[in-house]
Amino acid sequence: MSTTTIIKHSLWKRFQRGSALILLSVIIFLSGLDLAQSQNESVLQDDSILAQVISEQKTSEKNLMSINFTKVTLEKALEILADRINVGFSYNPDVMPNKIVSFEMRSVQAHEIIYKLLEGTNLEPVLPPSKDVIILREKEDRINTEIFQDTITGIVTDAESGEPLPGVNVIVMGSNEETGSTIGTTTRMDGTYQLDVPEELNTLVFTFVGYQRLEVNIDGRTEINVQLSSDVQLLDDVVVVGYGTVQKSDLTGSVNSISGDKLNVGSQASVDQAIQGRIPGVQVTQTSAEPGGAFSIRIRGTNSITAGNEPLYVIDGLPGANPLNSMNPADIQSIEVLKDASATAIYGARGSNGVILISTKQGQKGAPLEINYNGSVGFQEAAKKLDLMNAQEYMSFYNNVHIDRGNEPPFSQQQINSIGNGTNWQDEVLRTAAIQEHRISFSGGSEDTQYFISGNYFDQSGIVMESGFEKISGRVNVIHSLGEKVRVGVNLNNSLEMENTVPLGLGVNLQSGVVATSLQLPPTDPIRDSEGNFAFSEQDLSNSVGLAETVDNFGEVKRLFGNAFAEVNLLENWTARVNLGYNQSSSQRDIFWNTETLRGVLENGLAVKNYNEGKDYLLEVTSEFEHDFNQQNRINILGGYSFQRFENLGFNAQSRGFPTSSFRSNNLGSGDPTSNEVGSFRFENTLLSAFGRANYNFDDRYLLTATFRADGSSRFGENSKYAYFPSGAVAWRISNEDFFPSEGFFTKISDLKLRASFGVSGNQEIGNGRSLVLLGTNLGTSQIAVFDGNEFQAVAPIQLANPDLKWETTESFDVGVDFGLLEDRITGSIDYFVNNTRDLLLELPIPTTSGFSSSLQNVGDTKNSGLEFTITSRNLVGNFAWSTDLNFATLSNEVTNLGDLPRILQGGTRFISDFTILNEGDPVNSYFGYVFDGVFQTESEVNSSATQANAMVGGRKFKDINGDGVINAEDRTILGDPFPDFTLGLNNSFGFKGFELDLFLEGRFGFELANFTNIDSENPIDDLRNRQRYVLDRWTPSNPTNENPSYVNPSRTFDFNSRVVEDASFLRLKNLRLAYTFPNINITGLNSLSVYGSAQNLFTITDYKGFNPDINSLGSSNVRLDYAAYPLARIITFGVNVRL
Amino acid sequence: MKYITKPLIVFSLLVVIIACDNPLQEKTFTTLSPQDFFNTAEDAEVVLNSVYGELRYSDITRDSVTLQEVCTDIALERSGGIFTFNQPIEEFTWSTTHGWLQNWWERRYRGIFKANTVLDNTPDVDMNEQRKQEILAEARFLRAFKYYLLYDLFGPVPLVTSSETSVLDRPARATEQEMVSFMESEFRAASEILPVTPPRDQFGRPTKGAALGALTKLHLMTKNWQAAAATAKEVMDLGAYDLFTEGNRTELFAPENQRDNEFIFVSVMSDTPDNNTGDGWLSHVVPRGYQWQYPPRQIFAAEYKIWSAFINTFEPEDERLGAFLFEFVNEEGETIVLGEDNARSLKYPEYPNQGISRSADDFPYIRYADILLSRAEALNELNGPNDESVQLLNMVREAAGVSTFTVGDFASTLEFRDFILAERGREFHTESQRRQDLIRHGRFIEMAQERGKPAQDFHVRYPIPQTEIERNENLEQNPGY
Repeated sequence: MSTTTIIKHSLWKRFQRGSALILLSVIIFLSGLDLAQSQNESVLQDDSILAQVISEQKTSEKNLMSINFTKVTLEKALEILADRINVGFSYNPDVMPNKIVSFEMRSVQAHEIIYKLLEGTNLEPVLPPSKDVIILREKEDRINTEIFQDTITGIVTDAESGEPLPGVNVIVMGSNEETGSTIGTTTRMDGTYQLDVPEELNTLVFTFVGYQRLEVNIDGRTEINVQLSSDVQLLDDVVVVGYGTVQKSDLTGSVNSISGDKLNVGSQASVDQAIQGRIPGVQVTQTSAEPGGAFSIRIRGTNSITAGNEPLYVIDGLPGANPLNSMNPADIQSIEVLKDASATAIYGARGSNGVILISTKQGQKGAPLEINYNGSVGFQEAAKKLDLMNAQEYMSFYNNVHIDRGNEPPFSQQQINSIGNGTNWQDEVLRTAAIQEHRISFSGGSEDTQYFISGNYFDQSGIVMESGFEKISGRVNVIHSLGEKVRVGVNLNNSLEMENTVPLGLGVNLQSGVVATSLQLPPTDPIRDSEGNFAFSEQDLSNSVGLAETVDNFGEVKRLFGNAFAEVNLLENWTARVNLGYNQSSSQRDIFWNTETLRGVLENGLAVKNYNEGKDYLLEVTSEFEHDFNQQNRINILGGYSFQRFENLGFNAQSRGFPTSSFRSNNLGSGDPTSNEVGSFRFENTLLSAFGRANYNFDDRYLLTATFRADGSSRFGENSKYAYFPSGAVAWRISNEDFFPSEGFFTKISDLKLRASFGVSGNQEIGNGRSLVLLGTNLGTSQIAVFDGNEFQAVAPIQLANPDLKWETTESFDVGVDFGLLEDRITGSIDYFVNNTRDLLLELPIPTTSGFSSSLQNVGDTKNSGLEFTITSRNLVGNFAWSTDLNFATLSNEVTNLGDLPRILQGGTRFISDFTILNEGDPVNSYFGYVFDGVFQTESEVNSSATQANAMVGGRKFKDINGDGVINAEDRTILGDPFPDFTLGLNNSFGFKGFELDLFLEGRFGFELANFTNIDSENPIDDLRNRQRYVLDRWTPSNPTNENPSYVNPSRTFDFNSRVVEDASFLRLKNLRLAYTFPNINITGLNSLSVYGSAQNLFTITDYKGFNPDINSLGSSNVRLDYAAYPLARIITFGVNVRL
Repeated sequence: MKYITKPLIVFSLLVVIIACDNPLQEKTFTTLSPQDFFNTAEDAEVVLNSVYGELRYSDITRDSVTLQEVCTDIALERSGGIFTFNQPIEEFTWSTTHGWLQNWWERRYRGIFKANTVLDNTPDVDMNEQRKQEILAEARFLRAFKYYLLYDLFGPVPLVTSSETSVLDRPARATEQEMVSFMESEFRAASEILPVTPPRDQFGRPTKGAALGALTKLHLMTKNWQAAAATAKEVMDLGAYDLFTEGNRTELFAPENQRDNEFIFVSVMSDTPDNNTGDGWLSHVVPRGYQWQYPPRQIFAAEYKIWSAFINTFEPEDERLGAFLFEFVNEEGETIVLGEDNARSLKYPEYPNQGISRSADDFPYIRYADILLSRAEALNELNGPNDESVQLLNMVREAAGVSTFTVGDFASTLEFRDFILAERGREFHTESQRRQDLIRHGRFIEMAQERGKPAQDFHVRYPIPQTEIERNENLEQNPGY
């Protein structure tokens, strides 16, 4: 059946008025096409339903209108009406009678006009699910008036809300065979219906779009009231997978899907933040809590030791573009996380760390313009501060420690008396900061062209003074059909991110940043000296406030990524698609140190300018064939080829010694030319791939999936350029078997599916040129030779060749159960997985007698395994609604093989090295150090204990692990690991009369974090630096505690010990949100209005002593630690959601 | 529209595929591939430069003083992050995992590999033959000198003499005999080719004197007294060197004199030093609040100091006392007296040109005073106190402005030995000679024990770094560790 559609012209005009839509007007074309009529529709029998529909859409007051038709065709009349009431009509022109209409109606409801127009025709209006286009179709003979017996009446209501459902089709089953025509009706506005049923028929079928079909036996009753349950599965049934989509019920792999409206609420800069805690087996860790700070994601643990462990991102079919902060979370339709090899192997060499598919919103066919606006403002404060000594405490602490050391006390009583409160450096640099965000989107579409356009402005000041992040992003998604065979489309994301940061980071002493110095500067140091300049400390530390206020550090990132595609229906079931992708990022950083801080003075003023550019382009051709041999055998075959090239280049320059501070970093040429430094680099790499997938579905009971990918990568050795990644999966929907019991307990099980998969995927995240011998200048500039005081550049081999260098390979095995209970009121899945990774891309330590300390080799194995559980339950439905999403996961990670090496020690931060270990049988980079065993209480305890360097009464005592009577490097042992044994995400949503309350808790349990910030309190790099207040409870002869040593002994030998490897388990109320949606909004043009308040990071329950247990100061490194991290912010926002 | 789209797609596909005939061939831009390199004289020179680069680094004085003097009667270090590394050295509790030993080892072998690269590739380069021979001799000297530095700390180590290395190499240690004769023959061979004045007239490149000087030091270390005396004489007979007597003895290290002909072989620092090309000693040594002559300059949390007992071995008129800082005037004009065990060695002075924390102070390996005192010591060991030995000693003492001796002042070999050892302390402190001097005469362990340290005989050698032992099953650890 072919139809045509009248576009609502008034909408179109409104469209053009929108200034943001200029671009759209260029892109959107209108053309006619044939379109299969929607399968899901309801017949509008009752006037009141149509009236309601129209009044929802139209904007005139009281829903009354007047109209005058003078000798126009029926088609033209419909067009005029459509324009007036903002509703489109869809119909088959072949059946549209050539009727000329002339009449006038005044102050009537729109539906009356429609009925008047259709008077005497064989057409009836039908309401499709989108409720914005009225379908006109030929009437069917519905009621056989000859034979009838009983009149049945009743009311149909929504099972959840209890509200009456108008427009539900009620049909007498079997009436067609019995009477030659279907007997049926639809429910009225109030949900009631009335139907005459022939005596010999006993079953009513209730169908309604978006609801589950229901069959009811009459069994002699005359009143039958039914409740229809919404068909969640039907509405939410398509899951995006690599290079395509599948019905959720047909999934054979481990894929978690999260829809855009389930993303973490509140203000977020990045996509990663929005999914934190939402998916079992996906750990999202913040690498810096500063605004715009990055996140690191681990899916199902850590496979790789040296190569990258971050998942592959695929945005609307463009692989390899990590969105970071560039996307607007509100643009996201859904995020799918592919976890097992059955799902990831189609991404071959990039699949082993898991794949995150992001699908953005698209306009809907025949949908009127919808404008969504979400604005929020709020404030933030530090969720936690460290408890530091104040000036008085600090002075008496150091006086006492110095006296105990037999030294002069550094502070006189007079100094103590006169100091007052001193400087609370932490309070000086932390502040309450503002945050605001605006998100707006425009979406809609005709039958030919659908669009989604959005803009986002995000502005977050940091809780550390002078820091902040700002983002502007925009998106255009357009799909256009060229005839019925070709579709073309484009998805484009453009963003500008601006970061204003302050010195931060892992540096020590002079390199310490604002946070680190604020925790270490003596509270006796003033902020400013008597002349009002920033005071210089005698500590080798810059003034925290001075650093924050005088150092410029501006970063700017411009991103553009997207894809354009064309899809052709070659045959009815065979499509081909060409996808061209592009991803570009250019970043620029400007740094300027004037001479107001210690470091600025020493640098003699310093200006730095960095420019980096990355771009990649993708060409991908795929073809998909689908066939339904009969009702029982369905196959789907996909094949494809892709080419992707990545290019990176950068340039940096710095200069010192400026005559004035005015130029900042904008005129490097004004610096002292002899101090100039420049650098540049360029890399590129290429991936060539072919891939395929076959799905076979037998009777919706047995499902088979096989995938295969061949990848060629420039990064690998001459002898191993190509690799092959197969996978296979089976699923069995037991609940569809005939033998599945349909009685008793089993009726509660609405869906049950078993899955198993096995596959191979790879990892190629090793950087470029790693298989070659390289001659370079960059292995530390210490290569520079100096003769006569002049510098001479040097070149030398910087890498051993490895022509056999190849992929890291992960073999993954997954078994799972998907289930639905109680008519799918409760749905969930359970998965158990084992990932064995072999041929690790390991930076293998080698004897340095070779001239190199390591070489990238395929050596070693790791294993990750765990159990994942997710459940969604609608606990209460009706007026008071309550739903729960719960996920939890366990993880066990271990190194299973390291080749010939007994172990590898890693890590080097804050003068402490080798504090993590790779050891067969233990988790990757477990913490490795000494075990604190209390405080030496007496001289005799010192003498009777194992010999320990610098042992003394009041000093730290360590465990003699190997029992040889000496405490030395051999007594280091594993102190913990950074992998949570158990992770938890729990969301509860409550709804009551327009109010909606969301509570989201995230928990991680059974993991440790090395708290390097604490080492600065245990044993500061320099005497007289400030410490946390707990040190006041130090050991003294009169306070013989075993908790804290006397701090008299400054020995550093055992600094990495169990005192600084802390249990970091936490439970955090990550989001709390209360929203209210105004009912019965009766304002012109306004469809929906809601307001909300939300709180992020409201509280965290943890024993961890640092700012935040969910941090890794080393970024995405496998070595995890917390050192001078940016404090976590508690964010309170208030916002409004408007839909026009 | 549709008629355009299809051909366009097909065309773009073809373009991409045709454009890359071998798309997976990896190209390098910022680094070079070997096939494009080591064909010209310039290539040979820049690789040779990298060998020098490995010998000179900005923490060389700091690391050397820690490993060679903090374990002796001269220096100590307090405070700062590097106390972690200094305390075990001072306390004789160092272990196989000491990070600076590992760095020392790695740096030396990296340099050896690069020297081997020069030696293996330069012969095939078409270039000036004389310069080619010089390059080879420079590389041989530098390689042998790095082995000498390794031997000093660890004893015999694996002798790697080819640049063809692989991840599978597991070389064992050379024997004492192999190690010493390799260095001896290499220094000797280099000395026969290297010119008396530096190659290319560039101060910092090894000369004939440097090769003979290093050989003298090696003979001294191995107590080959005859050879040590003879080789020292060879250096003296070159006539290229004399002691600095043109001013106060401490001025030898001043900017205008640091390339004086008393210096035979040094690590040259840049005249425009930055964190990579200058020496960081001064920032490690001055006390808080110290007022620099040429500010700005960083004062590290670390503090290297001198034991008062060592200072007390200087005679009051000794010009060399001028290298120490005993007190200073702070910003407020107060005089801060540093007190007991708190004097600082400012042997390497400030320069007007300096980095944030790095100066242009060269780090001396061999200077003429050492050659003179080495011959004096060797002759004493061979013949007992003798005129020439005393004469050589007097030359150094005269330069420092202290009294001279006659042979009659020394009653025995032992007495002269002890005196010359003390004199070497005064002359070469902060030049990282002390540990080897004390070991040579069996005093290293004894003196540490006298200071109350748990020193044992095996401590005369540092342990091979634990990481190396773990990576190479053929590598035998020094006894005692």
